[in-house]
Amino acid sequence: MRRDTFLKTMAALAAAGALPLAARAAANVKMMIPANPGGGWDTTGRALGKALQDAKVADNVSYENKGGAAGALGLAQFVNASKGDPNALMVMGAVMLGGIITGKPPVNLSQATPIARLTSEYNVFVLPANSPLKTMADVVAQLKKDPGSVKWGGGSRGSTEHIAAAMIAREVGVDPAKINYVAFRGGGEATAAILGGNVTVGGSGYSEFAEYINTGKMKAVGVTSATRLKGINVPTLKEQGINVELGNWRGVYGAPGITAAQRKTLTDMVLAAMKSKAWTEAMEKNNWTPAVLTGPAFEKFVDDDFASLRATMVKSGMV
Amino acid sequence: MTNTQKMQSAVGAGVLLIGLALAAGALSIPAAAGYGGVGPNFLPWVVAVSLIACGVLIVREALTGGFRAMDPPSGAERAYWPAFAWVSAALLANAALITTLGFILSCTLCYMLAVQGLRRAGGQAAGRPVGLAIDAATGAAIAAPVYWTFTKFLGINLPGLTQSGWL
Amino acid sequence: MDILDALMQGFATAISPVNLLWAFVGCVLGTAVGVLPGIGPAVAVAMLLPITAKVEVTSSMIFFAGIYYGAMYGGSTTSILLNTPGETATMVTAMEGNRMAKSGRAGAALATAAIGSFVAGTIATVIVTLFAPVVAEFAVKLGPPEYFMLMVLAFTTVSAVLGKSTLRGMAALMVGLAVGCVGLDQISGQPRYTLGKPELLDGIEIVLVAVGLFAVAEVLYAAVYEGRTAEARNPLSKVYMTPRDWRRSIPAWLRGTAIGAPFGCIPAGGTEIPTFLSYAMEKKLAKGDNLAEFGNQGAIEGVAGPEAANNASVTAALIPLLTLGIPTSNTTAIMLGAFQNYGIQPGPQLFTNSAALVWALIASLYVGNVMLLILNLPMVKLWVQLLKIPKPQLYAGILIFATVGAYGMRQSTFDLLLLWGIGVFGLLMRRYDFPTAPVVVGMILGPLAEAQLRNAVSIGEGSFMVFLQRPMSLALLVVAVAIVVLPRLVRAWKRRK
Repeated sequence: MRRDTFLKTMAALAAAGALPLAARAAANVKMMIPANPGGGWDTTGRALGKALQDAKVADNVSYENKGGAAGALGLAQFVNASKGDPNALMVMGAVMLGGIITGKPPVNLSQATPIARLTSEYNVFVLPANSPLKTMADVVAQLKKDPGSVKWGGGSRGSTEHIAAAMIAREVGVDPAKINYVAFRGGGEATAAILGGNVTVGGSGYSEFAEYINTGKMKAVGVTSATRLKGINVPTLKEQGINVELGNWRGVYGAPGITAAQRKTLTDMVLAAMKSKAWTEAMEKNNWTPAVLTGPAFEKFVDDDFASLRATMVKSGMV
Repeated sequence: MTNTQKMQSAVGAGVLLIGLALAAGALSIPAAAGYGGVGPNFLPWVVAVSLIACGVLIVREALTGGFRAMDPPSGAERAYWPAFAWVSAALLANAALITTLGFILSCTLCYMLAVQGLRRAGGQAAGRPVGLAIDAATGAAIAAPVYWTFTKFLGINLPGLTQSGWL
Repeated sequence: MDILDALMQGFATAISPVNLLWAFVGCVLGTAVGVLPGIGPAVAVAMLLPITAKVEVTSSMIFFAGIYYGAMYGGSTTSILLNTPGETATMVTAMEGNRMAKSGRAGAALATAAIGSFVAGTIATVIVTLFAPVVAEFAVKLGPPEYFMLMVLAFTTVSAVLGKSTLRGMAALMVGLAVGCVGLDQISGQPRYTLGKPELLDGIEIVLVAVGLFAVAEVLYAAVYEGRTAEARNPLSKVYMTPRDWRRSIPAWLRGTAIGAPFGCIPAGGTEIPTFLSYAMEKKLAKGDNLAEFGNQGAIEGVAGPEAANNASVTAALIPLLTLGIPTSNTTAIMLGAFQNYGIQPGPQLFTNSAALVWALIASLYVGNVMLLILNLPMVKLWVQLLKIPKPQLYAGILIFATVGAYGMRQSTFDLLLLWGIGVFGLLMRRYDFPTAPVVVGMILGPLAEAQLRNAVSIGEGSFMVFLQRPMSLALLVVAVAIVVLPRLVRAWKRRK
């Protein structure tokens, strides 16, 4: 902890202890973070909480971390414990959908109330600098010739890069169950394997590889966004005739059984928070891409994503 | 067969049972290896078979003169099971009550129960009101700062009796 | 020189007031933990792991390193004074140290332990400074096949080392591997041994098992079997060594360091073997009066050597942790977990990706060593006061901390029930002389080794020949086979002669 943050924490402690909190009227938000402290959802949830306070729509935000099973444990607790609570929020995202499909928990996401999609990150596929292959087309050509010889390196099984790899295979007419996906335990290990040329092609969120791509240690051959990412000269898969678009998005859900008016209030609170300075700073610091989507459009988006994820995972033998 | 040998055989049998249970579980794990050479059921089978082998060998050691290369266990010859019950009650009560009573009260109770057990094990007088009050105070004095460190300093919410983060 | 520059930068970070404070708090806590029997640095770091959620990575690593070191220093104190090794690594210290204490030389024994630890820690830190980057550079070239062979290497040393009975050690290791299997398989995503419980899908936390087996089992054991065991206390004499003590200690420290440091570098070498080796060496080299002191009044070499050896190996253990991401002890295993909580994967990339952090950590080792020596010599008397807390209160207090460690991770009451179950299991293991450390080692290495094996074969496109085709993996395989086969061949050859 830097000294200034250290001091700030101490100051905040003193303030929290000394000030009577009931003095103002804004809501006390309870934020469920269905992951252990320190991860991506945790950062998102705490940043959103800070933004809610910064935008003065929430007075106090309390966080609860409940990690496990790609968020399914936290979801179960959220659905059971905060029924009808108009001030409860839960962080979630694409990974939770994957977790629900593979883990088959006893609760369903549709029991909770969709509020908003917040951010999104797209994947990039890279080749080792000294790879004989040069473009995505080369990768596809080799994939068609011998699926086993194309070693896809990335994060754990069911991660967005894994699903994207399976989708690419399906698009180019290769059996997705035949792809040779090497699931590494942590980001660093996958990075090492790509740098060392131990895998043919690597995939990850763009920000994780940005440094290596910029320094020429990896060659980016395709991003999974619909259009080129701002300021990044890497072709999309779609441009290259591979109809694959996949983002690792994060969003928030409200408690089950809240009224339409309560849902509207919550949505407005989140939208107000998106406009706060604290949120802008968090977006910048964490390299997130804004992807705000609310109301019925968000609900439909989740349903569609759920269906397409399930289809891909079933076809590639992940489920 | 001596009593020690009986107990040691039981321990060996326990290891054997764990091995068998693991083998039973391994049956339901698919074998599909993909390009990985070995499937997800490979390690479970290795472990299950090894544990079964260890179990058999341990039982054999126990039956043929007791465990080899064994340090005599420290402490008393005979177990004092009431203390086990007290300490177990401490931990289980904590598991059962932590979400309703809150961290501090639940841990204080856990502390009091454990102290009771350990005092009885040592043959000390236990259960006098003054002693209980001191134990409650000591337990709370250990648990409360820990709780505050988590909720106030580290920002991780442990369950409390109230929402204030102080109790 | 690059290394020197980087190290200076590291010092600049480590010596910031806040980090110095963390180093200090870590050293104090670590020493306390080492003095208290039953809770070691692994448990202490495990219980404090939740701070990774809030505290910045450099500070928390400096903090954990302080605890790690402090515990090693503190562990020797109880070994010498009470014949109760606070840590496994200080078991040997108790052999000669406690005899010295009984013959009124507790002061000299404590001093040689403290100064010896300082000397060994400092030399080993220099080794880390100079060679860790070299090892790191070399490590970039390694891939899953080599990692898997390193795991095999680790297994060959670990299983033979931990515990007197290979059979019971193996059983414990296998239990650890089994626990490591619980959860979703990392490669295929298939659930294994989850019994339909969603809480088990993510597997069982290593921290939970460590706290259960070490802390909770210790409390249960004390309650069930040791209620009436009297604790012997010895009056603490002056903390001071005679010139003769110095003359005998200095070579022993250096020899201990020479044995300990390479063992620390070997993945999963463990800190116990070098202490025994050093003890055996000192006894073999001693002559005349000095030799006569072994096992009688207590020989100071028998304290100095092993203490230096354990500290040297503890420090050198950071090389495989930082450069290869391989934990060689319970504590480094939990430190690895701490790194991962920050999304940092110690390994080939750490020195390039997080160079500032690594050098700050290395610099803080120097700082920690000096800080501990300053703390340890005058504070010994004070720490002994902690042991005067009556056992019931002391152990009940440990239970509260165990609860925090287990519950704070996931906030799940299921984990608390599991903690109790593991504690009961540990009680049985302790009573029947099963070593508990292999369980944790198996839990850590098992899933790692399995994932590396399957990834390696995937890279070989389904062929196991990949291990023989790559020169480094082949070399490691040969070493692993040699470790298993050579001692047996030598023994057989000697018997024939």
